[in-house]
Amino acid sequence: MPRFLFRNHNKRSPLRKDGVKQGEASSSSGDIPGSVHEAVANIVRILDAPDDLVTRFVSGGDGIPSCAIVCIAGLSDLNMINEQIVSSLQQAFSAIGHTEKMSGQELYGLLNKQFLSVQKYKTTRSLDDILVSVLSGDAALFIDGLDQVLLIGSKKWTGRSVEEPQTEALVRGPREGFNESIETNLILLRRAIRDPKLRFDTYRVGARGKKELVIAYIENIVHPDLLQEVKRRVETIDIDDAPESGTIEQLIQDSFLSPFPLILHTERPDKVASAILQGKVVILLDGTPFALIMPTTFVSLVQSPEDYYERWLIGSLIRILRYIAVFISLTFPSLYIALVSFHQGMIPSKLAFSIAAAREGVPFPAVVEAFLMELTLELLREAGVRLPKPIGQTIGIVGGLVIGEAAVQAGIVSPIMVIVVAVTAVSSFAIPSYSAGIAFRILRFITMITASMFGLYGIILTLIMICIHLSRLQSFGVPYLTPLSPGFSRDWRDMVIRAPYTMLTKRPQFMQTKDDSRMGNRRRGP
Amino acid sequence: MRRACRGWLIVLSLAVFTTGCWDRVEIEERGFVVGAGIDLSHEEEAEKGQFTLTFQFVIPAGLQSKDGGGKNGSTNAAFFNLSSSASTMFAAARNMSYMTSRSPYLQHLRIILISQDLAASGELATTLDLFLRDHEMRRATKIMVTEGEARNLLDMHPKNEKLPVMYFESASLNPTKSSRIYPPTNIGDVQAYILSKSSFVLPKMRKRNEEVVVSGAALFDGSQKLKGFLNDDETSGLNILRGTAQDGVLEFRLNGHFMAYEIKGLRRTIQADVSNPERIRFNLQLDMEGNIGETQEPIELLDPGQLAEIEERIAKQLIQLTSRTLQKVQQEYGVDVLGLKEFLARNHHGVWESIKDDWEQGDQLFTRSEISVDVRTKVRIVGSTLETN
Repeated sequence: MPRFLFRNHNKRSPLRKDGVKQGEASSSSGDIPGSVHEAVANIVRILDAPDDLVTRFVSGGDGIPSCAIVCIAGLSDLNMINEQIVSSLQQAFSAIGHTEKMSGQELYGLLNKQFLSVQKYKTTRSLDDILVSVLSGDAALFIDGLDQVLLIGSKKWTGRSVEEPQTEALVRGPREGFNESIETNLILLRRAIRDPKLRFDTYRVGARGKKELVIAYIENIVHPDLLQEVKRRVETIDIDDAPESGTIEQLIQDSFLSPFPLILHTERPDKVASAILQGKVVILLDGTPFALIMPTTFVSLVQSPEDYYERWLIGSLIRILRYIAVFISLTFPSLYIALVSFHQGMIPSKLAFSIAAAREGVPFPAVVEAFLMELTLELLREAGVRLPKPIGQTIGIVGGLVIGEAAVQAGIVSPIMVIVVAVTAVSSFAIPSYSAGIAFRILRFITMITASMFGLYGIILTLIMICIHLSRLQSFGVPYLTPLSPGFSRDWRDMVIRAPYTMLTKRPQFMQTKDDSRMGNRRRGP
Repeated sequence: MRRACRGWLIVLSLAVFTTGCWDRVEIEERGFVVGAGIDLSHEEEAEKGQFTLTFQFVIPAGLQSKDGGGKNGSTNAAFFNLSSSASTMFAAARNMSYMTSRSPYLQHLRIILISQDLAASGELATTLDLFLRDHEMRRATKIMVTEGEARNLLDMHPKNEKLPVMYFESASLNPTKSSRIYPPTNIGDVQAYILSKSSFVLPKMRKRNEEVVVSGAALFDGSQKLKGFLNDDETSGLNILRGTAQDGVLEFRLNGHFMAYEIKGLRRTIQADVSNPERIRFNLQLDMEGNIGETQEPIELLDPGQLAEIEERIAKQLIQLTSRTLQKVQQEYGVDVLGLKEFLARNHHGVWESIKDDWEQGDQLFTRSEISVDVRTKVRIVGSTLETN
C-alpha cells in the first residue's frame, strides 16, 4: 500500500456521485410522459424549437403505438436514421399489419428482438440523459406508451482526421496522433492495447459543456488507490465547461504554485499506451487531442518515446543529451553573467581576453545584456507561434539573424551573448515536454537575477532551492523525484540511461502495480 | 500571520535588493595582468623603495584586431607595461591603480620574471610573498629568471604572439621538443623548495638581439640565493641526469660526419651505496631510446654492428654531456638539483636523517659523494629511408 497516497483527502469539496452538476434542464426533469406527442413537445419546448432540431413521427396505424425520432441535424447521421431506424420501424409496422391492439412495451420488445438494426443503443428514463444524448448527436426514439426512450448512436460530424502530432514529432515511431474526437482517440488506444482488462470509465464534466471525459487504465495493473484517487479528484470537478484537458489538469493537480507540470500531457497514442501499461492512469477529454498522464515524475519530463524505439545505447545517449540540455537551458545565461561580472579568474585566460575585447564598448552590464537578448528571444518565440506558418518561419529568420547581427553591429550586445542566447534557446527546444520547457524558461530568468546579484553563489543557491522545491512536490501521491528520492534502485535502469529491454523485465517499482512483470511469463490471461 | 509574512518578505527583499551586486566588476573593466617582472630599483627610483615591480597589462581589443601587436603605445597594441617602485610588492602593485583606469586584476597572472640581480641578492622569498599570500593569485603561475632586467624582457615584441608573456609561456612549454629548456616551475613548487630550504632550478631567459631565448637554467641554493647559470648544453645534461628529458636532439660524429639522434624516451634508475655516509656512492643508470633523426653519410643502418657502434657513440656523447653538468653542479656550485636527496630521503631514510644537515651545507657531503653515470642507448627507428646520399 503506498503510504504516500492521499494527502489532502479532507480538503476537497464533497463528492457528487454522477460528477455532473445538474443544469437548468433539471427543473423540467421527471418521468417521460406516456404520449409521444407530449414527450416530443416537451423536448422541443426545453430546447426552444431550434432550426436544426429534427423531429419525425412514424405512425403505424390503428392499434399500433406511434413512434417519434428526435435528433439534431448537423450532429446526427440523417441518412443512417432514415435507412435504419425509420425503415426498420416501417418494416415492423407492415409485419404487424392491422391485428389487435398493441402496447408500447410489446412494440419495443418486437423491435428489440427482430427489427431494429442499429449498431448501438441504450434505454433511459431520464430526461437529462435524453437531452445530453440528443445534443451530442444521438437520436432519441420515443414509443407511445413506453416509459423508456431508446437512445440510438448516430453521431456523425466532420472533424479532423488522424494526423501526425504537431507538437511531438519523432523520427522513429508511429505517425498517428490524437484528434479532437474522443471516439477516435479511444479507438486509437484500443488499437494500441488489445487487453481485455483495458478499462474506459466515462464521466461527463462541465455543468453546461457536458464533455465526455474518459479515465483509461488497465484493471489488473493499476494500483487501486491511485485509480480511486484519480476518480475522486475528477468527481470533484465542478465547472461550467472544460474547454481543454489543461482545465482538468489544473483542477486536479496537487500544487498550483509550482512551475513544473505535475501532470504530463501528450497527443501521442503510443506514449499514452506505454503509460497505461506502466500502471499509470490516463484521462482523455472530448474536444482536445491532449491526453493527461498521471502520476508524473520529474524523470518522465525528459523521456521521449523514441528512447524506447531506438537501440538502448542510442536511446541512453540521447537521453543524457537531454539532461545536459536541461542544465544548459536552466543555467547557461546565468553562468555567463556570473563569470563575466564576478569570476573573471575562472575563465581560461585567452577566452577571458576575447570576452573582454568583445564587451569593449557594450554600454550595459552583462545582466542587462542577457536580459535584453533573452527577452527578444522570448518575443520572437511568442510571435512565431501566433503568426501563420509561412510567416512564422520568416520571422524566425529575420528575428534570429537580423536582430542578433544588428544588435552586435550596433554595439548593444556582445557577439558572445548572442551565442549564449542561441545555445540556450536550442537546448530549451530539446526538452521533450513543452510545459517542462516553460518551467525551465521561468527558472532561467530567476537564476539570471540571482547570478547578477551573487555570482556563482547565487546560481548554487537557486539550484538548491529548485532541488528543495522539487523534492517537496508530489503528483497523485507519488513524490516528484521518484525514483531518485525516495529511491527505487530498480527503476534507475530506466532513468538517466535506458537499459536494454532484457533488463527492463519489470514495470516501474514505484508504481506498485498489481502485475509487475513485463516479460518472462508468456501466458498472461485476463 | 499574513501580515508577518509580508513584513518578512519586505525585509528579505531589502536585504537582497539594497546590497546586491556589491562586488560586481564587469569583465571589460578589469585590468588583466598576465605577467610580472621584479627588479632591484635603479638609483633614481631607490628612494621610493628597493624593488621595482612591472606589470604587463592586456589590452583585449588589441588582441582581437587582425593587424595588432604593433609598437607599444600605438592604437592596436595588445599590451602595456607599468612599473612602480616600493619597499613591498603590495604597495608597488597598489601604486599601479593610480596609473591606469583599470585596476590590476591578477587572477590571470601567468609568469613572474625575476631578474638576475634580484635573484642573486637572495630576496626571492621576500618578493614572492605577495604572490603566494594574496587571494587573487594562482599557484600555477610560472617563475623564470632573466639575464638582465626583467622589465626589458617584458617590453619586447614577439613575432608570432601578440603578448610577450604568452610567448614566454609557450616557449617554456617546449621541453617536449628540446632538452635544453628546463621544465617550467610553478610558484607553488618554489614555495615548497623555499620552505624545505632545499636547492632548486628555475628556467632562464635572456635577450639576444631583438629575440628572447628561453634556454638554460638558474641554480639556487638552499638559502634561495642564485648560485649561477647553466648554459644550454649543461641544461640539457641536467635534464638527462634528472631523467626529465623525454625529447630532444643529440648531435654526434661518426667517421667525421655529423649525425643527429632524437631522444624519444629516457628512464633513470638510481642506486646508492650508503655504507659510508661520508662518501656515498651513487650510480645513475640512464636507459635511453630514440631514433636516427639525420645522417650526413651513407651508413649501413641494417647492419647490427653498425647500429651498435652508433649506440656506443651516443652513449659516449651522453657521458660527455652529463659529466660537464655534473662537474658544475657538484663541484662548482655544490647544489644537489639532481634529485639525489629525494632519493636518499625515500630509500635510505635513516641515513638521510643523520646527514641531511650536512648534505649541501656544513660538511658538503654532496660535493664529496661519488657519482657515476652508466648509459644504455637504443636506436629504435632508423627513419623512413635507408639511403639519401
